[in-house]
Amino acid sequence: MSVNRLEGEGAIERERTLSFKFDGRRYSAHPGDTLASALLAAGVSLVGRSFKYHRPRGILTAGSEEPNALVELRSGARREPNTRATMIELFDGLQACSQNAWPSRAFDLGAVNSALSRLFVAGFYYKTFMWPAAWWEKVYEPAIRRVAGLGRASAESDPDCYEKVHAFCDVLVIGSGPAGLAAALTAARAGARIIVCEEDFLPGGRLNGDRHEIDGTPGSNWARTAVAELRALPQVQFMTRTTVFGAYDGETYGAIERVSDHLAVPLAHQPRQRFWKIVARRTVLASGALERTVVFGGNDRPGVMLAAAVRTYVNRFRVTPGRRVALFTTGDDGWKTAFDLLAAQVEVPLIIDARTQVSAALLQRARGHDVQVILGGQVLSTAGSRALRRIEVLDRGGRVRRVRVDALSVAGGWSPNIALATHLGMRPRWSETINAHLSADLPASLCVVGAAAGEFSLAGALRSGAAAGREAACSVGFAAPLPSWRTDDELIDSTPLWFVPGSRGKAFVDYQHDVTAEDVALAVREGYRSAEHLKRYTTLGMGTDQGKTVQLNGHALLAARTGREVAEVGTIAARPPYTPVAIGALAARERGRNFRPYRFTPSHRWAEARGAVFVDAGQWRRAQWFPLPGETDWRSTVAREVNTVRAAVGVCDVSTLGKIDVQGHDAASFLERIYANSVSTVPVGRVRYGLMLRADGMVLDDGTVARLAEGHYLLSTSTAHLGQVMRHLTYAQQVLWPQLDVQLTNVTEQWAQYAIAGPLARTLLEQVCADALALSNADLPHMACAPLRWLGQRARVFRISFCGELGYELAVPARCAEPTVRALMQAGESLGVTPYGTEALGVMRIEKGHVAGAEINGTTTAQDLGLGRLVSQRKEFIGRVLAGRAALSAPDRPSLVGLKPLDPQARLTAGAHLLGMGAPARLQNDQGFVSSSAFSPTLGRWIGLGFLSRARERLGERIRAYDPLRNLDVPVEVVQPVFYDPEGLRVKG
Amino acid sequence: MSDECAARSIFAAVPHTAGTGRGVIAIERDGLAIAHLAARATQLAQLTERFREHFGMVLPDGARRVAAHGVAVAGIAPQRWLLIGEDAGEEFVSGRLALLEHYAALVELSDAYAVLRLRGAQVRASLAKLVPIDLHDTRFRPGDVAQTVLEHMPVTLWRLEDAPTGEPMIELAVGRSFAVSLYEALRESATEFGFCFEPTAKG
Amino acid sequence: MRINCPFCGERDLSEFSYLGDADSAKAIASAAQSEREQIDAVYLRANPAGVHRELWYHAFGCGSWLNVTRDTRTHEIFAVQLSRERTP
Repeated sequence: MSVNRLEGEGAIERERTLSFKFDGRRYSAHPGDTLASALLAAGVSLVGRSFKYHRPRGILTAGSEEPNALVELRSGARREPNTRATMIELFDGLQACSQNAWPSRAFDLGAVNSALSRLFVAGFYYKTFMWPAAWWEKVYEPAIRRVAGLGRASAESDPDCYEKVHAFCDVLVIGSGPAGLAAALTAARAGARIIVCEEDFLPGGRLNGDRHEIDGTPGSNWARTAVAELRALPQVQFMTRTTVFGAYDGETYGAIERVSDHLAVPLAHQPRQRFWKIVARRTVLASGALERTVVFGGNDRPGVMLAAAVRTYVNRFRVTPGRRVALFTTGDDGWKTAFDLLAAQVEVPLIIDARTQVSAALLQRARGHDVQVILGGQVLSTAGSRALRRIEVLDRGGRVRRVRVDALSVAGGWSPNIALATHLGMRPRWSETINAHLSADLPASLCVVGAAAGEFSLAGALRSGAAAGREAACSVGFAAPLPSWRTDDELIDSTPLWFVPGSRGKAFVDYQHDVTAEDVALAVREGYRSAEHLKRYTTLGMGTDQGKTVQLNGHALLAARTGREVAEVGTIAARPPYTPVAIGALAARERGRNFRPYRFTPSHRWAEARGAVFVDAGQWRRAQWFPLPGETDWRSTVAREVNTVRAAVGVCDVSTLGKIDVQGHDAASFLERIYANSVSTVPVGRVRYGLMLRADGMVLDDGTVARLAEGHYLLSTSTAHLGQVMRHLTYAQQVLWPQLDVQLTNVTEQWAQYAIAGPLARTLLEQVCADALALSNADLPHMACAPLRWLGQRARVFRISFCGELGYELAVPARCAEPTVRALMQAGESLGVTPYGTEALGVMRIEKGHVAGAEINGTTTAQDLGLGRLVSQRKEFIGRVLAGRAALSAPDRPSLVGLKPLDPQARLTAGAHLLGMGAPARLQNDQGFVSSSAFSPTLGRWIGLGFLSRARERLGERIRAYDPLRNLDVPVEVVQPVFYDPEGLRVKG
Repeated sequence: MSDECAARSIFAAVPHTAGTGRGVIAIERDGLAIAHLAARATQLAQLTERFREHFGMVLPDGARRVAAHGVAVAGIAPQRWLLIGEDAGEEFVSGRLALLEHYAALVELSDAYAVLRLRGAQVRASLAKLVPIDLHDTRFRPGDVAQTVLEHMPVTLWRLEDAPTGEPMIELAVGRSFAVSLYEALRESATEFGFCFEPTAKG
Repeated sequence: MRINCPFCGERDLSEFSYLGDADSAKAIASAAQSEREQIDAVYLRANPAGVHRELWYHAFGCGSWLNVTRDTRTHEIFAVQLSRERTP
């Protein structure tokens, strides 16, 4: 079965065998394999079909830049589409499927697209599917989705969990190839706090794929020793399977650690992936370089593979992609592949070097084998239906020859992998020396080393890594000696060949999106000249691989077609993420029930035991209503709660309302500048309603202001607006008027607070605290407050009412919450007391016409809310000037009204538009909207509050509440926004 | 103090262990008397002086915590502190602290916070999943105070002297209403290391 | 982005909320406010591509308002001051 597995030692555990399935067929592999190496070992070269033309595709690379070998990994809820076979670490029982192939990857009907390729040229979406417009959604898009596209996502909820971790270090080293290890060793030996992130599961980078010696030992051994040394140091965190995917402002980097992706299921209490947010004082980018392909006919055929990837499969995984492997190279580096294949007893019939002259040393080494060398040669095309069978080679003399091979390794030159060095907007610069882009304009905190900096020799990588490690350690206060290591000399000459002009057949410049050289030519004919425009028009480089292996060739083609140098064309901006990142990993714990924290009031458990139904109010869980046994319809529960409060007494938990303690000699003067109405004149022991405006004149919040003592106030805010009000008050305190003596303390959490409301509220309260406090109208009138001892604690009572009945609010330290509410319920039992929830509270405030969040919505003024008379004309306060703008007083500006359906049974809905009788439902006829509505048990009908143009002159007029979402069109009468006890006598009872 | 109001464990209904081992141990710190102190304008020098006289400590000038004789004071903002009394009882604010009132706004907050003490070898690894600040031994030292955000919850942390075993000890205070959400976040982050909750020694 | 709060030290952006041009506070605080000045301060705040003095609120930290001098193109921060202690 392992037809292509080689003898000899690599980085796999031959003693153990793993079993896996690909497209339902069982194969075997070893620990240390990737899915890609295991498939190659089994002789599987066709892995999937391409996005647009459904061309057979194989494995191009051995890393995260893989464009072709995308598979669906796992099954059911864990099915993950577009996973790169080159990155999948093999585990026992692994299941994967090819993508985008039907009925099978070997015989795929979608391949007919290839014959229709004239239709699928650059910009085909824009050209082909323009007309008729209505066909796009109904015909074109579904049809395209069926034949084009990648894998299928699982529709089930992800059963695994993800984590986010915050990490900090002196030096972050990205990559653990020779340069990264040299940097990490140098800085770590000096004592700096270091994090090393390695994308692969095996550290060492090219030391594993190539055959090198450092200080006389094989490079892979040297890497292992270096990693062991680093891991033993307490100040070093060495992470494998971790991809740094983005660089952000403030020396912050994002990384994904694939904690459990190499296991069938995560271990107990382990996440599938961990999202690391790393803040590093210094960063050494040692991300290596990416090998490019060459653009020639059929350069996508399974069996065509990058030369360094071939070496990696041979040396690390002991697998060969074929038994007769030719080399097509543009530089010295590619020759290593041929020699490594030969050393592994694989036949190399042909080395094609595009250069006409190469080092004599290479030629001499080749001469020792039975290899034909063609200098100045080019591959024109490839052949083979599902796998490579033959290549066509053009030699310097113009002769075309056909050579039978089953694999072709292509060495198109190296591009430094500098994506992370450009995420913050730094533009790379073209290097004539290496014929690729190098990073430029780097911030002081970032240093690029090794192949990522164009240092393509091993000696150069080690040297530049050590120097950067030393410099980084020094800059954070650690003196580091500079180590040095002995390595062999290397030949690293290369001359780029971006594309083969006489290519026959499709020559790809983007494998994943099926963009061909001809598409680039077409785009140029149609006037595209910029690399960024070319990208968007042809989708070159827009796949999940971001065109890492071949995009530069596309830009070189653009340059050639427009008569420019590659340097002039420039390159496109790389943006995070460097490789695809699962949204679930970024969300980490914050999903489902943990999407946000819950807040519970101090007597939550009492309410639970009492059978309350809870509602989310921002982060708070509030009791919405308290059904009694036998009550099945929430409306009847709410009606009972309202009726009980109106006729007897009820108790409501209002602890969630914001409470802010204000002290200082200038507290009164400060509050005058905050509130639109006069509040400083409220006497000690009294409470006043207060209205706060934003600087733009809109209402920010309303609440109460209680004066506890001289220079000591307690403000209340709505539950939802506490955060905004605190921000507003501290802004006024610290930014606007820092000279005032004012101290603000948020005391919301300190107090549990209960509204006791209804005609029997006083009777109830007298039963529990008559000896502590006199409650008569004379002693504690409406809008008064007083301290009292309660259950041995300091407590406060406020005579205020939101529901329009005689009402008190009792504030007690939070620890007393449950004893307090129990005492109140017990004392009220004989009075028929009921606990009531937010729904009954809402009904009663609508009956009273009190505005709440639906009305104080950030777009309404005091005048809009019918509170214009409160706004002081005699003082300066935030929002005064802009609230006075003429347009805000225009008569057609909608303001608060009450609304009553003519038919008492008719339902009124919040959000309904207000229209004139008989006026067609069009935007220009819109006269306002319903903001709040409720069924009033007190009035036995639906009522509502809303905003209506020219409200003042329209009382008594009949209009319509039009709600197309619920298909309602209800005639209503415009009334005063107070439906119950308009004289306000009951609160004074 | 009424007995009824004394029993107030916020965490009575939560599961008390998770995972295996004791990598993170959480202890409920109840019975603390807590007050918020904000210096009045121009009174900082006098406040500092009076505080030193009566408590034998200098009010910290930054995000630091000092403690003596059962009272700790933690700087939480410019010219603002949290005063924490161990076993100080109800009279903490109205009694010993009242003499500061001329120089500072003094507000009782004993019921406003849920406070947990964390110790164990994996406290830092566990908290790293929750708070966006550097808790490294040399960056968050004993006596350091930090206010930050823990999964959308405002949180105040301070590091105590290490336990005799050498393990770090960190206390965390959140608004009382967040107690259960905080507890769940902590427990989940510490499960892989083994998490145990020890209700207060005082029951 | 990270902001070095004078009280708390360097913290992640997620702890802060933004208000904008620091100069807008002058008009909002002043007693002699013309409608024109107010409109400029509320709606027409400066928002240059370059060095900008702006207000940030350390909401999930010490609750301080900060005057931050920042290059809006690079997010480089040149100075951070407590607003209450700012030099005019």
